[in-house]
Amino acid sequence: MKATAAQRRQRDARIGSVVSLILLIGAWQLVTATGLVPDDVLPQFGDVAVTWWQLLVSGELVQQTASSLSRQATGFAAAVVCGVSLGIVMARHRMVDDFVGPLTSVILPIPKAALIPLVMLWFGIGDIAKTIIVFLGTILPILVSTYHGAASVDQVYLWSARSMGDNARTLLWRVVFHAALPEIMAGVRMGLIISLIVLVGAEMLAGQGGLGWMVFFTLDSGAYRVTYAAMLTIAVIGYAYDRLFLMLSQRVLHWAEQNP
Amino acid sequence: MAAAPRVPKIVLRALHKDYDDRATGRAVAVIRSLDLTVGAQEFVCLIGPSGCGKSTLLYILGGFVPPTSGEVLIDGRPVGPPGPDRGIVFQEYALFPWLTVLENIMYGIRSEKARGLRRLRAEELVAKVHLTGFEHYYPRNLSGGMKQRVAIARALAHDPDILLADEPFGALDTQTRSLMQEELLRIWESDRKTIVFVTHSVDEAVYLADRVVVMTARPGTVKADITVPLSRPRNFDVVMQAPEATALRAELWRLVKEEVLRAGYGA
Repeated sequence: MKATAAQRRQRDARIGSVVSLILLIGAWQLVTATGLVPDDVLPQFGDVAVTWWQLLVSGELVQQTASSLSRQATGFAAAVVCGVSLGIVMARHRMVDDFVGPLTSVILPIPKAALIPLVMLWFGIGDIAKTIIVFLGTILPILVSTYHGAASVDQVYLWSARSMGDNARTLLWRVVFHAALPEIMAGVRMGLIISLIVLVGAEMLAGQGGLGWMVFFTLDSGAYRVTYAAMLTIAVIGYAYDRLFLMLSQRVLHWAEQNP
Repeated sequence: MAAAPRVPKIVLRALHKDYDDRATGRAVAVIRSLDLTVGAQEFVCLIGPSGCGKSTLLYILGGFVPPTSGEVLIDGRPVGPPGPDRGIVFQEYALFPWLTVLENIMYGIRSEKARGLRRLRAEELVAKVHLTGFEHYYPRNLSGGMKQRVAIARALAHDPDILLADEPFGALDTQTRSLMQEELLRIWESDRKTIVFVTHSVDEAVYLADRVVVMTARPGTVKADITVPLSRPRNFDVVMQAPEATALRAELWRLVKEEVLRAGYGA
């Protein structure tokens, strides 16, 4: 069967990204192996790969990754649940909006890194503090997109649903949530990326394990290969997350006129 | 056939509706001193110039928009919030794009009924609007006419007493439109809902309605209330050639045109 234009386009894009990755790694290896860039500035890719493998086999990498991901997943999941439900209720109920709206517009512009010392002051440097930082950093983009999606639901959907027996409460889930889902998913995707950024930031500042801690701690002690191995792991996780998310998005939004 | 006296289903008395104009902050009268009675199982078309308040009237009947003053009675009781006693069809279809044809139609069938029964009822409606084979399509893959047939089936699914239609065929091409009109009449003749149908088209009103209500330019009120002297069932090609139909079309055109001109057409 002949491939369609869209399939060809997708295949080309895939080949393109593999080629650019190979070129990047090749250039890295070239400038370091020839001594053009000294080893203490940028270790050789081959050495980093070996270190990465050793860390993986020793279980060290798995343990740090697991502790990072459990903090990230908990904070992120809580942010999705709270952000989506609060956004929907705010968009459809004037009183909640009047009450919560000013709070979010004050908190929204604060750079999330600025929250880290504050949360550490209140909750210490343990898992709870980092989970809270992820939660705070992630909830606002999710809340804002959900709010805009839910506020712009077509009036005729709401009226149709009311005339088919929905009340103001059942409407929120049966109509508003679904109609706003494209915007919700866009906000959740952004939140997912931010969650990794703020988590790594929090782990750098607050220590006690995790990939961010690995990066920061080893930089201090001069074990640059480990630093790079940890950074690579973060990059791979970020990429895998985004791919997984896009797949999920296409599944739940298959009905939309335009897929994200 | 002499029309038997009908039980009044919808009664509007001294209805007023003002909207707040956001730009000027003043109230603008959309509907003024409107009285109208619609009998049970009657098919009434509302026509009038753009902005005359005919859609607003429909939304008031639906319970979506409150009247500023006056009485709105359905079965002798003041109109309540939107509910399954009144189905509604919009020009823009308003199908839920995340649900299939069958799921859209099942949406309003009460959930206390067993799932199997709901499905059976929905499938019956799919057949009634000639969409068999399209049950699992999503709205984005349907033509305008098909979408509107789903919308009609969906509005009828919970068996409302009243069907409100807001220019439902206004966005369709001419051929699809006349097929849809025939189909709507066929459905109405089999289950006899009370229908209030807003349209721009004089021909559509004459072909479909028992009575045509002509509204004045804004603020809208009843300008003329004319019984359509055509027997049923109506075949479009035959009935529209009848001298009564021709005379009525001319009369309605004249009435609507007066109001369009009064509304400041081109001014």
